[in-house]
Amino acid sequence: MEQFLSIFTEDFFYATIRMASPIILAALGEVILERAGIFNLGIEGVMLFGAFFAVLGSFLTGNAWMGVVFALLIGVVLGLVYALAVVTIRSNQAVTGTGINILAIGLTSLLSRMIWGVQAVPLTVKGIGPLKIPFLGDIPVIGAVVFNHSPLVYLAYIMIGVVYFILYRTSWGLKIRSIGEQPKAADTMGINVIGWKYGMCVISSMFSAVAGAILSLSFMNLFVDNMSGGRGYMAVASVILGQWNPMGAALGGLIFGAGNAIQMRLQAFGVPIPSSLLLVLPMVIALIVVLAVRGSASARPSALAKPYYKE
Amino acid sequence: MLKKGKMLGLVLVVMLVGLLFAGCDNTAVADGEDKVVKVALLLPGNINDAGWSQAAYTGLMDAEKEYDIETSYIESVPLAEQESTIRDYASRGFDLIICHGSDFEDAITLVAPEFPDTGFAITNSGAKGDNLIGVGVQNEEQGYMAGYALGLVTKDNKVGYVASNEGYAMKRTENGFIAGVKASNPSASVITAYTGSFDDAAKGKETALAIFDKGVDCVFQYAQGSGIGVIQAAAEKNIPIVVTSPSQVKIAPNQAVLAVMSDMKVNILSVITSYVEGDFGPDLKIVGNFSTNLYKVSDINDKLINAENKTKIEAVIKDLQAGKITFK
Amino acid sequence: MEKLDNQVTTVNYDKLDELVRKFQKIFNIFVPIFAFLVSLIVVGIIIKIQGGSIIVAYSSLFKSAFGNLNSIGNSLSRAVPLIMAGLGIAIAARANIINLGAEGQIIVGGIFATYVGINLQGLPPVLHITLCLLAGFIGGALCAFLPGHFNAKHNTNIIITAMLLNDITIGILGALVQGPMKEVGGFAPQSAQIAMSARLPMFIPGSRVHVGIIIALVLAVIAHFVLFKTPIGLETRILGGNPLVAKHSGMQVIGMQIMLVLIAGGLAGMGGAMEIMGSQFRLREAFLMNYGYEALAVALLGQKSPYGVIIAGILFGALKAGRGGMVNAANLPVSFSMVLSGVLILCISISPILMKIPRYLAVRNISANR
Repeated sequence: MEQFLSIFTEDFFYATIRMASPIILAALGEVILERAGIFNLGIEGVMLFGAFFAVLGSFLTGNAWMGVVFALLIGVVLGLVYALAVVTIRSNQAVTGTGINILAIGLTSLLSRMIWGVQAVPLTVKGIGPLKIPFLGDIPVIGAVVFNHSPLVYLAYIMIGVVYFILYRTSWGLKIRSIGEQPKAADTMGINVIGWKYGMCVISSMFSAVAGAILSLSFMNLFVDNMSGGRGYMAVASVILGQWNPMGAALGGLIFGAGNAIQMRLQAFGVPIPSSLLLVLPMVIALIVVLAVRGSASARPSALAKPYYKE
Repeated sequence: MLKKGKMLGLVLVVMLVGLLFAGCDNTAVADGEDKVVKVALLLPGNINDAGWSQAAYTGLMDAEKEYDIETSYIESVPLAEQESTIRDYASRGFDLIICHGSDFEDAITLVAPEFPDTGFAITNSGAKGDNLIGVGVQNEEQGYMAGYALGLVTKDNKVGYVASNEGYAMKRTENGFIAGVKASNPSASVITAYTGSFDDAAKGKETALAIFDKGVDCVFQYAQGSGIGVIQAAAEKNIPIVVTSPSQVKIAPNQAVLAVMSDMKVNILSVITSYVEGDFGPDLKIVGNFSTNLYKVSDINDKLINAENKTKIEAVIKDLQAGKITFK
Repeated sequence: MEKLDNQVTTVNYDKLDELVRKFQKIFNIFVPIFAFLVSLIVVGIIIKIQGGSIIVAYSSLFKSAFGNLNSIGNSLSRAVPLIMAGLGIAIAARANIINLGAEGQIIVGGIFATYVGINLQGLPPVLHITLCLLAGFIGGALCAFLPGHFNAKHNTNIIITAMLLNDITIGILGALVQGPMKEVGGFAPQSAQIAMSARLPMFIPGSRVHVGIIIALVLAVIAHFVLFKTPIGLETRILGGNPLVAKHSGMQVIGMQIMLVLIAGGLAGMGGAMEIMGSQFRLREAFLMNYGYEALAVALLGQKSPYGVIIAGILFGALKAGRGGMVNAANLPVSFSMVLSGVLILCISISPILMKIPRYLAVRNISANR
């Protein structure tokens, strides 16, 4: 037990905050989208595209922040494509998302091979490293754990508040939520349902793309095939864990981050549990929580994943 | 509804009949006069995986430059498609088919007898047959070298090993690594962690940071694409690391203790040579290790290894080359 | 829409429906072909960019997939697990349940079948094979139970629970082949080989295709019969068409939904079992990686019809078998096959827009003849 508690070092919390950030950012985008009645499994793929284009942008311009701009742009494009498919054509959302995910793995790998060839080690670009915040960063313990991250990591946490505020304190948020609950009523109130759905697809896709940029530019400074590693799926699960609430989704992201941080440290202890089981520990925790929160599933937007037909 | 079912059924029947007919014009690929040897290499991972598969790919490319052969390779052959892929290459008239990794063992032993005129080779395996040779790879030696060096480097007597998963080669390397650490520093303990991925570099980095947090003060990575993250973590935290190719040294130039690379060209060339010279058979045994120059040590970092330790390391290299250090 | 409805009111509904159905029948076949062609064109463009020849690439793909008995056997044996999992997905999809858990169900089916295949010795082959297949079915169904149950009873998103379970089963498989199920005295992370009596026999000399393909075909015929000729099939389709109607007509909606997911899981599990029993003979990590996700493409490309699944399954099997030939001919990186699957799934997923055309055509046809 004592040994188990020794897991929780400063570094553990630092790692949890960092590892959770891309999941949180992607989950926040997904919260907005699901609140507007659309489910997007494809954020895993969007994340991977974002990671790739961020590196490409940084590679081409020599400026890491241009990489983030590239990621945002591909986010817009993918958001429009997804909106076209699920809003206008009303295709099955889970299937379209799966298609995007598989395409993303293939296409990013193909493009990186075309642009950079077969490298002995992946080509490195300018990344966005940690930025210690003045004054706050000097607070003992907390400063090192909380205020010494990459700017993109801060962004993920700042967005929790922003998304919460927009969803619950502004008229935009009201519109978004009403579209997800009662699209027909929203329509009669004069809300452009289709337009808003397009907008939310684009915005959520931008969130996920930047989450990808966190992976490739903040955690690393390079792109490797399939580097999103299932974090998009974790984000989708986080939304359910968090009952479609930005705070809850962030908590879900932290569960995955902490689960992974614990798992990695448990391995280092040499606990008598096979490593393959420890590796899926975050998934086991997530599954238990998803099944446990079923009782309050009323938070689920009533029109979620249902295609909208304008009368 | 009935009609639709019938129609689909008809399409199906036509398709199946078509398949059978297509099967009838089965003509064996004629392999006429003595021309260049056609070599195919089947890889379990990507050719840019920064590890196992890339080493073999580079080896094949080097072999092509030096030898009059025609080469072909295929990446990321999934377990379920090993057998069909091997069979496909064999029936397309390749003279020599090299499968890279013990995972291929079942598939290649199954297919090899079906194509008696084709040569088959599998690395990291003891498989044998009339037209099949296993090329032993002494993974332990690579691990031993890394472990020995890190045993000398560690100050807190905590040495880390990060691998992608508990696969055959990773586990053997790990065993060698532990033996190596024990040889140079009996009081040091080895902390092992797996990333569970061949390509998630970010996860590799986090895994490495986690074991650094546990007090590991030097590390060896054998984790393919995710290992790139391990090297970056070492560079960031200034933790000495043993890498597996000279190009990886560039990621952590100040932290890389040394590089133990596996020069797969050696293995591939010896397979090709023995095939061309007609040595293939159950008695042939090729083993890749330090003595056959499969493993090479380079980039010994003088800042991390003092003169005394360097002598020790060079002595171990000599011992390994002489085959004095053996593993079960 | 309003304009169409105005016209419709003036014509005979029965005649319109009949025409719509007639056109739909054609489109059911046309749409997947269209999607497949689009994907081939997209990959063709990639081949051109890579500097390869499209004709050489595709002809070598065909040669490696269907060129001789050997390659046909390869294509068919690759198709078996795809068809099995695809059938399950198609059946569940008829009731509007997307089963993304086939990946994990295949794994658990494979684990169960291997266990029975190794530990029961000395049985007559027919009995042993039956037991193994049954074990595979039970394993797959077991893996599908949790997501299916919570989806039907508590409206818990089945996609997420199933995908989390997929990852978890991968972990369990890894732990098993490194621990309890590891071959005695072996070093590699794999189980022992299953008994000879548990292996699926091969029936075409010169080819490695096993009777799994025949079992899959028979099951597809049965699935077609059940779906389109029995009350249960009708209820399934009503459930997919309009769950509200289903509820009000007194159907056991929850029971049906759970049962369909169990069947889907069971079939996928049997697919995993057949792969072990007919091709690989032992359990290894990642023994059928990504087949569960590709089975989704198979089910959709097959228009959720059992016969369609067979054709689509063979097509995907052929792509797997022919990949090597094509890669060499066109100098393509392997990732092209992911691009192909991805584009294919996207094309199929947006095909509902094409399925609107039949109705449009029918209306036009009728108003023209009026």
